[in-house]
Amino acid sequence: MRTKAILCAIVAFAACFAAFGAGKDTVINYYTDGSDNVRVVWEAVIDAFNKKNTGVVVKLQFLASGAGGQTGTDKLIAAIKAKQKSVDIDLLELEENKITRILTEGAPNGLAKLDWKKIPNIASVSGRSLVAPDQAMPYRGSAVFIAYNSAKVPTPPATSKDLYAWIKANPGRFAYNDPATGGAGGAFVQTAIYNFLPAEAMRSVDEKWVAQWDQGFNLLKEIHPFLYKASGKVQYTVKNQGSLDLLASGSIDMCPAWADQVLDQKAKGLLPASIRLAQIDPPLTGSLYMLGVPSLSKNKEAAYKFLNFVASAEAQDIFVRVMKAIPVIDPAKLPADTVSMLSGLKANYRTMTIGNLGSKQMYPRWTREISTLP
Amino acid sequence: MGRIEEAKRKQKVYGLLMVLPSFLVICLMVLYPIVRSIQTSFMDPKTQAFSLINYQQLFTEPYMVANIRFTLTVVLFTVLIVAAVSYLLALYITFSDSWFARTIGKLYLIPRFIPTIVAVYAMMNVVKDTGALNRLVNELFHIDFKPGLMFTPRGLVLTNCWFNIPFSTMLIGAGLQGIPRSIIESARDVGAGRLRVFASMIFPLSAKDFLIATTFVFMGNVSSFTTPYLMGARAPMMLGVALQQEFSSFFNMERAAAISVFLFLLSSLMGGFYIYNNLKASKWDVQDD
Repeated sequence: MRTKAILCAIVAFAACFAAFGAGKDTVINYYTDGSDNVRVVWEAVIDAFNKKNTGVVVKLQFLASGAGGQTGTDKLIAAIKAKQKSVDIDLLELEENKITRILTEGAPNGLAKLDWKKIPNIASVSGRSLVAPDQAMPYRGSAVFIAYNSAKVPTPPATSKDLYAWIKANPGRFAYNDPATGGAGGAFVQTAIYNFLPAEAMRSVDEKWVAQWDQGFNLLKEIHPFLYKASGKVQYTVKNQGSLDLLASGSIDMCPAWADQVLDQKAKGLLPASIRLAQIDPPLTGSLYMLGVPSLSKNKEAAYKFLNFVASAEAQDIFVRVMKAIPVIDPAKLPADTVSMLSGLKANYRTMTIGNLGSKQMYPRWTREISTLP
Repeated sequence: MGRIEEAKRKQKVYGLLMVLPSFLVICLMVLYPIVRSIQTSFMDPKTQAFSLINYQQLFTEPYMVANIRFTLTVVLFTVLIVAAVSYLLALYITFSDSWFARTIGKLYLIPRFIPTIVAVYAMMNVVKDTGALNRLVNELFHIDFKPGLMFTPRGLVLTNCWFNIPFSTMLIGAGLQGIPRSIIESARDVGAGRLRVFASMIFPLSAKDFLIATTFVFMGNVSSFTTPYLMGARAPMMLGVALQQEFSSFFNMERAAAISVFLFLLSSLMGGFYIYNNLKASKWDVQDD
């Protein structure tokens, strides 16, 4: 009883304080988590938004990954399960997995249907959530592309078939990392296998698809002898960085790589300026990061104002410059020097949700069958 | 009960109480995980029922057998080369009075103080095909020299030597220091040659330290991770890397446990050898009793 009273007092005090401090502004809480670069970029975006005096002030609730705390998603699910009438989360960072969790573990209407009329900038945003297209707004992408040395390869392969043909025509000039050690090699292996399967397989955790992997594994066997060689043997690199190191030293001309990793290292001078990014068709995989508004939020209108800003060219420019993220709007709308920073990057990638089929079946099989090839 | 006995009993209790914290920590942090690992290693990954499948796969799957063979080969060569080099180095540092020996005696431990990851990256940047050696030879002789050490067992053994020679030199050197110079001098006085002194005095007196150093090098390398992870090929790989891969990439805890139990057995075999050698009284030690 007493703790409850104290808690009430604190809440009341905090509410008064917030009301006095922000004048008439509506304060909304935005929950996100991740690596520190996520915090840095959001601080920059929120700062730019708050300076506009739109009557809405955004407060960042950031939880560093690995801190073991309760993420916004967990908190929202808990609030829904406890049948709360409202929640202090007005905006939440999402990706397909989190959306699935909120809609299944929480409630199908756990995320509000976004009122697109109040977010006019959505018109220029390409891509939607596959799980809940009307309940989340994409704001940045992160994906694997083909990184290549434009000084050696003037025109990069345009399709996956071209890429495999290029690998065979240029022995020793392509490398991909052990898929178990990093997502760049993972995307290369997964797409090489799933390009032979029906499109629905990429979004299925059903074990029945495992039986259809042979064709893809045969392809990986076929290109094996043409990959990067060192000390007389074909070598798979360790971690995403392994192939990039080879690309930087000129030992190879091409490898799959995370876009943000390449762009960040180019900006720091760790990769030569001649390294560019290209996507093949069908594209390699990545993930789309989105924002959503909980149905329990009392500040939906205010949240829409911020969402509209996030989809604007101004905010997208910040995501690209600070985080080297893939913008969700047409890069042509961004300033020219930001576009050049993107090195040919376009938001073109597939998402793949095969659960732990990758880590528990595909990668162990790769280790047994591909890495052991002479 | 007499007062003396009472005091003795109290002393015993205090002694036990003082040992208790570290004993509990060992139980909790060492014994318990070992027991759990052994238990997990006998579980079927799918059904969690008792099964020998993890061990069966460990010793029959061709790529795992290749990993085991590879690990033992790398460790064997590491131990042989480290033992030979560090014994000679320890002899030199201990028995030579030249300024060069004294300088080496001061410098040889430095590699011990360089963090593993830094040293491995440094080594990679020197020996890789586009590394410092390659560029140096290219600059001086215009030859595209490729050391061919990255991703090879040779490269791993080389890096292992870099880490282990200082440590085992220190161990053996400490043993050599303990040999009284007076007995060597008296042997020389009665006409024993250098080889004779070495074969019948210095070597028998330092053999135990030599074996101890060898044991430690074996145990330290059989489960090594950083060096083979960064420098080694993806197949065959050393067991430490395979263990990490099963554990954190494939989430196959049962199989990871089986590998760790196997590594534990290999190490305890050497550990047993070490204890046996320590307990065995040397004929030179008789005077101490």
